[in-house]
Amino acid sequence: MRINLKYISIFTIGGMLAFTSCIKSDDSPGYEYMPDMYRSQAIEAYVDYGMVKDDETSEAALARKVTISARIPAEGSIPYKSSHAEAKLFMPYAYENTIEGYDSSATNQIPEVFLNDVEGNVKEGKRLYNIMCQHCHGMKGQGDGAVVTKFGFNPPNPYNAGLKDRTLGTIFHVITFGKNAMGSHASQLNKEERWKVAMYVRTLQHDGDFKLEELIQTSDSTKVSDSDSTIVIK
Amino acid sequence: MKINWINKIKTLGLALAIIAMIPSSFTAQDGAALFKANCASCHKVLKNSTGPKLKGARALWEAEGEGEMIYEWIKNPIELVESGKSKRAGVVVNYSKSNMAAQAVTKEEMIAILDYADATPDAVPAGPAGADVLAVDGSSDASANYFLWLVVGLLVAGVVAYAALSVKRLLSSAIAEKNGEEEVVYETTKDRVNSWVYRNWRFALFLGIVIGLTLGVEGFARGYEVGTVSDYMPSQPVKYSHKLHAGEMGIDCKYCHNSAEKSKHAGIPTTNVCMNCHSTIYEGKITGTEEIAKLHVAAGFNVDERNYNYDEKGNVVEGTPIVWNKAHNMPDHVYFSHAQHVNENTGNIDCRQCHGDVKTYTLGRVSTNKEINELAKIDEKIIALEKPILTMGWCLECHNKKSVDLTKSGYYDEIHDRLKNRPDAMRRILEDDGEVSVRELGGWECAKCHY
Repeated sequence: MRINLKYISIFTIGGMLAFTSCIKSDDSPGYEYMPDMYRSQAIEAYVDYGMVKDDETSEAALARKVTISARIPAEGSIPYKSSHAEAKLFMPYAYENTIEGYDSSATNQIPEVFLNDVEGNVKEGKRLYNIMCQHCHGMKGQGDGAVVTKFGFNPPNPYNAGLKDRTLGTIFHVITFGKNAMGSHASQLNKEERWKVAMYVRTLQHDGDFKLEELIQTSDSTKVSDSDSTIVIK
Repeated sequence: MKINWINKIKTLGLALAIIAMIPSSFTAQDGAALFKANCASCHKVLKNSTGPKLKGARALWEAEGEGEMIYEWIKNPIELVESGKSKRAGVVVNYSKSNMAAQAVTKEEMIAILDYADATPDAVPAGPAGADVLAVDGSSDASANYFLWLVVGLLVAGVVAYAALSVKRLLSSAIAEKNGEEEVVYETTKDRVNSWVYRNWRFALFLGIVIGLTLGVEGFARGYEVGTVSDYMPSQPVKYSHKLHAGEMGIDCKYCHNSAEKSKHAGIPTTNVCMNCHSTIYEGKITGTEEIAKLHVAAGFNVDERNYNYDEKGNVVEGTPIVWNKAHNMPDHVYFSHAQHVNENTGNIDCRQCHGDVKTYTLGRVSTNKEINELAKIDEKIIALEKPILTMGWCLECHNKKSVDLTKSGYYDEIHDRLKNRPDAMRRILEDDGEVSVRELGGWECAKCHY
């Protein structure tokens, strides 16, 4: 029997299509040839400890797999800083996450080092605010961020109305521990950044108008009234 | 008491305006406006939030026989609790560990708010999600499936044809045997192929060229993909959506990946960052409670009690951590630091330069050169690059094209001063394009990245 031209063509074209139509699995990053240190044997952040030494199935390896590599630093530890003044900013926070702590934080004074360059710190605070806060509190602090307006998250009070009397110390306290629907942002902003954000929030309380004298004055003259824990300025 | 004054003036003004129009009665719209102005930051109408839901709240007080007490509660909760005259107040105060502040609203306004809350209809159950379902195996596989079916069809046709031919041959040889004819000696396959090629050499040559070209082109194309990762979106334990969070909600990349400016790693957010919002949001529009519940398990959060699970010592009992799958992987022999590239005092590179428009992805994904080059056309901050993404050639290409702003505070002071003192070196650097590129500051030195 003669070989039919038709069958040859069909097989060839079919084979070519089969060859070219191989699809990649979604979970496969692609081809590798002699992977050169592609997967770290050293223990690094976010590296799956279960991979260590080709042992992926034993009980110990499975236990390693769910071991958190990113841990909270020991209580009271502070980051290393080369100068005493800088290190002082990172000393443990003295106020507790309680209603009493919130009330007494109103008299907490901003470290003086931030008052040397108010304009620069407020500018940096604004940058951080736009990253960390604006999606809920809104660009101008009106409590109209996209998370609130589009998705119905609990709307924060506007800074220049309901939250106008919050002092720098209170703002710092709230960023540290959170309040009501807001969570703690202490893991995202360090103490230095929190003070800077608090300084920018103070300008939002006064619609962008911010004076150094006012800042010092208000932080000095704040006191807690006895009746209902509302914070009073002047 | 500034806050109270402002609220009082506001609410009084509102109240006066309303009273002027409709004497001594508030409509549902007024209740909604009052609710939004005074209560919404802690309460929701239909759901428990920072405070309990307001729909039916009045009925609960009335059930205790303390229908009037709710107004005293709103006026000053702590005073009511301390007076000890209300049983219900003692229950409500334990709802959360933070206290409700005294509210400056009149009784008419309270009634309007509670009327509005009670009149709000229960939410209609959400329909099936729209087009953008967060499935990983989405529409991109449709074309691949089409090819797969084509190939399967051709293979089946081939097998059937071959079987039919075999049967035909068997039958004809059986007939020949039966008729007593001499058995036909078939040629071997090799002989047949040889004779076929000899007879149809033009077609065979054509076929050979086509096959050779296909193999060559495909081989090169696949060969260039070896060791490169592009358009890669591994599945994840939680169907998180960047499109929803970064896109529609407008949350900055660095809110969750907050160590990008300070550390080698951009940082996979720990669950406490998720819990900043998800301690009050339990249900998503697309996946319902399923995906967010995984988060709560990992964080050790009890949705029913709206609080974390604590052990006797007061520590949070966390669940099993979420093990995310890595999309971007750097080999161990190269050092890459996000801080150096992202921080505005050093590289100040837009995240999209390397990661593409993440706002359009669902899960974490390695972008493609094509997508980033499209972005480069509309955004001058982004540089178009030709080498495959996440390869060394790609890094070097960018180090050659990217100019450095030496005037940025702090980081480049030293090298800036040194260059200023050496006009010849400065001239050499600036003579080609008038800019200082990363390469001209040593960005192509091996030991910059490999050490």
